[in-house]
Amino acid sequence: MSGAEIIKPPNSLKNAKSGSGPGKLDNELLERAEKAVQKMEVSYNEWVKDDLDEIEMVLKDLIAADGKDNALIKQLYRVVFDTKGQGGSFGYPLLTQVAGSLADFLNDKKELNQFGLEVATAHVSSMRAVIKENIRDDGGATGVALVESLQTLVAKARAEESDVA
Amino acid sequence: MSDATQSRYVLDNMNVLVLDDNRHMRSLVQSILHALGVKNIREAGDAAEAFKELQHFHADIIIVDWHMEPLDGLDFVRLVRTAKDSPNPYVPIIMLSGYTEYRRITEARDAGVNEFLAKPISAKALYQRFAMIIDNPRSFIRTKSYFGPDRRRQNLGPPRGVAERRQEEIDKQDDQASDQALSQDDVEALLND
Repeated sequence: MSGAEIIKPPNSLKNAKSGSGPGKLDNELLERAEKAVQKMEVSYNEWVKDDLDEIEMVLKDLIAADGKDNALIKQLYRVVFDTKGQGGSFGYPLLTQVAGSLADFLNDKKELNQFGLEVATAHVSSMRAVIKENIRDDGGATGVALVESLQTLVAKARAEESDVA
Repeated sequence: MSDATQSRYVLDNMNVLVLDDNRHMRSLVQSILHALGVKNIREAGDAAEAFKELQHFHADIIIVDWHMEPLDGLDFVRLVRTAKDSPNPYVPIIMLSGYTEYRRITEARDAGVNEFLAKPISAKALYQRFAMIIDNPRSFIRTKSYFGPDRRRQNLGPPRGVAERRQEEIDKQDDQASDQALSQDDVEALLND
């Protein structure tokens, strides 16, 4: 037999809506949910510092290993990737951008050369600065300049890698 | 004057399972859900624990992170959809992830997720994904290579031959995989066109 079987599963969510027409988001509930997230910003400011501590510690170990430790790169990637996924939820989209740039750079890397370690260090210092200086939103012109300078570094590191390859 | 045809979402009695290996993300999602009225929320920090939880918690919606170890979010979705001992292969699944590349979204879609939400998340975006799932219950499709929600949302199932061709087209699209990052709007278009 070939082809697709179409199955209509029981709708367990039929009671999750009053009425039969398309639903409408409840603005009052939404506002409550947004306030709940805002309330968490205080806690976030604490836990992001823990994450940054871990990032700095792992990077320090990675530098000591001359960038040749795949387990440390994976660990670094994991925390940086989590930071990318959280910053914007708590009013730090610039942190998400910088962490995203570093995560992209680290993704699938087995080791880092000297310049690669410098690129990682520049990103991590920037992430720390965003939190220390409490740079909210996109950081304005400073934020744009920061991201551009990091992207230039990443592009240079990639060019260097392809030259070696 | 109130509009009699306007429906309201009632999330109070919904059971939601949140699977994320990061406890801060779990807290964030839980806070949003609580504020939206969801009372029955279970959390799990890894896929095996979540799958075990499903044996006695009838989840109406599962929210799952992608990047986890040793089993990742995709492994978990495949388990829920296709494992012989899966208690509810049809449960709607929302995948949260910092991955937004085209190839990743198609991978998530082909594992059987209903909705995809790019991190960092907002309360509104999560609420909208719930609304999407409630408003648009999906048929399921079983082919030789896929079991999961109809990868193109439709209110009525198309004629059988059309469905077969459509699934074949979708399978072929994998060849277009790229690393291009997508916006949340692009993601929705890809999942729901």
